[in-house]
Amino acid sequence: MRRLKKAICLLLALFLLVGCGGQPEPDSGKTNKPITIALTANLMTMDNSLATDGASFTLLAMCMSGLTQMKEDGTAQADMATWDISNDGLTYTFHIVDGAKWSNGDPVTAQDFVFSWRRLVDPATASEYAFILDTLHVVNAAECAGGQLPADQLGVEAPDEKTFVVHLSLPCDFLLTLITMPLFYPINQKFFEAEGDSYAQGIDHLLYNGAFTMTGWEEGSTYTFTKNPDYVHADEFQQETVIFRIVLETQTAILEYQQSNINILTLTGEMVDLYKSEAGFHNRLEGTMWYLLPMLENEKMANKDLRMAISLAVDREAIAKDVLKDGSRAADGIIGHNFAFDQNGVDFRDTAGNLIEYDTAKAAEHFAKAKEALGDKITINLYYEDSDSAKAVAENIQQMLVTALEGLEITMTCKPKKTRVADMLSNNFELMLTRWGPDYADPQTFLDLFTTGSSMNNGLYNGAAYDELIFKGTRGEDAADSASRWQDMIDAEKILIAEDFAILPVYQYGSAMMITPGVEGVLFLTTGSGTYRRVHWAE
Amino acid sequence: MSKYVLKRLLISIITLIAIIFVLFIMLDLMPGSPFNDEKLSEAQKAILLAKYGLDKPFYVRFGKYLVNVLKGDLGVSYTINKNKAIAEMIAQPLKLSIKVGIQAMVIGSIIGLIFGIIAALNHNTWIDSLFSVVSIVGVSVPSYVFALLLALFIGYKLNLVPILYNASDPGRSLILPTIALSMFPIANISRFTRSEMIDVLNSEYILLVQAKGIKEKSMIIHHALRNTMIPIVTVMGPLLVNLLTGSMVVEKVFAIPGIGQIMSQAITNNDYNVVIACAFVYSALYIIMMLIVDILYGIIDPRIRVAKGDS
Repeated sequence: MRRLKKAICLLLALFLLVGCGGQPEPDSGKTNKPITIALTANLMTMDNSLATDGASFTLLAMCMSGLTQMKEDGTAQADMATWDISNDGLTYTFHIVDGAKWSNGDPVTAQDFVFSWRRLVDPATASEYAFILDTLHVVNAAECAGGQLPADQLGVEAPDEKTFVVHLSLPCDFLLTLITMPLFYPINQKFFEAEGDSYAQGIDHLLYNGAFTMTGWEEGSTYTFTKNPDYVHADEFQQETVIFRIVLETQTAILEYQQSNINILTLTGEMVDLYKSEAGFHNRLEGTMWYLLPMLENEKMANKDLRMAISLAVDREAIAKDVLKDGSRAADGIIGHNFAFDQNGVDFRDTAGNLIEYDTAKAAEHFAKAKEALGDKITINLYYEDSDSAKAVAENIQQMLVTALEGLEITMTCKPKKTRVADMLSNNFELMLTRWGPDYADPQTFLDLFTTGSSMNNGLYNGAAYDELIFKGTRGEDAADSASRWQDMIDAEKILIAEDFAILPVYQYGSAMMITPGVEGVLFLTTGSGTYRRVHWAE
Repeated sequence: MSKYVLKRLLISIITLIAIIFVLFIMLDLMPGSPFNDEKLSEAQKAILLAKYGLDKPFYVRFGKYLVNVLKGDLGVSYTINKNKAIAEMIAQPLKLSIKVGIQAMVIGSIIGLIFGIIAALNHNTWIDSLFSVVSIVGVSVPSYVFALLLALFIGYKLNLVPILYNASDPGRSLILPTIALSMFPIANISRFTRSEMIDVLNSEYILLVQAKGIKEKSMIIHHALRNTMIPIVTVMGPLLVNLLTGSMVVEKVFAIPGIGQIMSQAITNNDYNVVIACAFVYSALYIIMMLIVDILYGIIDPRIRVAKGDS
């Protein structure tokens, strides 16, 4: 049935491509003409402390602003504040810029940030991102999130209306980029308390301090943003109206794109091939990494030769180029390309190099050794989620493995994502195809996952040398020295991937987009928020 | 009649409570929880479960839910629309889905009846065969395909009506989804009408009507059609509920923010409260439809009313 559906989709798409009059005409100089962006997921919340999903972050970044904002090159620039950093890197002092105000006319104050950050960490809020302040090393963050200390003991303060101070227990290289996330945006306490349970439940139940104000909210359908003339950097923004439409079906989104009713949309796998030669086609490499996670306390997966054989037998290049075809890239490590940069602006991946090899002959050698220990017939269960891309990748991996490794049988388990994650968290799997979407542009967001005792180390990897390097780089003697810390991360990744084969990275996720020629300002960020806040028609 | 309706209403309420009970058990047995995100610590999960009362034993949750439902409170969404009251969250989408469903049903029934009558009156001719082919295509081709074809040809190529739902122009933007959804009832009702009509036309009382010299038009409307309606009304009730629940794919194609979208999102995100609320609404609709169908039987065919001892 699914194949039939796919075939029909492709036929229709092909028909459309052949029959249509080509690309929509480029528009220019139309700042008053709305730009419409198709979203493939619904808005879950506009409460910035509770947001967890892409659609919520995207819409929040349109109409609200934090201390800093992302530039296209992945660095942070001033938004609501400029900043000073103490020499020891432990105190960040933010100075709220003049003219920063809320849509009700109240000034944006340092207290608004203190309130929001404390609310984020407060267990009573139950934010899924309460842990993130500890990632920044904000003083007492872990204790406040765990409920051992009240939220007012969090290491943030507002000595006056215009000064917001963040105290860290250790220096943090990525603080300025991480706080571009909507989680760190300010909240006007007076307004929040007056709203009570209605807070963030509609356009009149929010205050705006960003580039746009939200002027339309049709649940599950259309969200309209209108330029905010009171935004402190309003002169940098030309576009008057941006509309987000929830369109779950890519086929109809494409039809609307061809009619210029939609200007920006994301293509799904099977459509990419058809549209990749069109003028509006863009590839976007994201920070998310997909990898195979072996359960190391499982007798079979504990065998390093078996893990090596699996890693060597998977042709990542074919998966990215022939199976996914959406701009995804074969993994060279667990840290992606164009994702994290050292102090000199050098890509982590360029320094760390390629840690992954594809060699079926070598794979067979290691598999032969594995068979000596585990017997001639080895059966492994591969567990993956029921999305189209995960299915395609898992099925191809199965094929590659059974072809290259004689005597290996791969059984398959496919379940919805929520169920897969539940089984992953309870270590109930042998080999799982999973992913991690990074929260900030630093290798630590990935490497922290696999330390002993981490709640997210679900393959139960126990690498003493690895743990030591991560501790040294993030909390120990190298934490304050950026260059040494970077080297620790490079060494740790090498141990994890190329020596212990504790996880087997497969590909770096890429998405394909169609953007009407004439629309500019989409930020192609590998991580961080604000992809669409600068969209506008070309002059 | 009123006693009968009252009895049926009471049975309906008990059925609904039983449905909620079964749903509670099923969701309790489902693996995972709304909060099994990798980023949540065990302590945070415990806080979230406590916040929504999910840490309480099954019978406490069930009892509390029933009491709240009686007050019109369906709880709040856990994940898909965080902390939003579900009653408020589904009111508009439900209204929209019902609107599209009823439009499709009305169009489907009228066209289906006409097709069925024409086919029956031209039994065993090429016209009959043509309508049979139409109804087979209508039943077997999924509404998803109809929806995409309509979007492509009528919405895009001919550019006659909008493809995507537009709240400021609901009349025009609901034309395509209504047509897409009406295909199934057209096909179904025309099949039923045709076969029933053929049966009725071959019955003895029709022969008597013909012998009395009553005009064909009057015979069809007053005698044949009325007796054809009983089985058709029987299928119309569930068909209408199917239109509401089965409109999920059509809602997706035309970006209609209806109840189908909410239901599918809630299921994939383990948003139990929303799943139960949607299933509760669907069940209630189904039961109400069956009740209406039962009452309609009595109106269409007095013999049924008499048989139930309520003349």
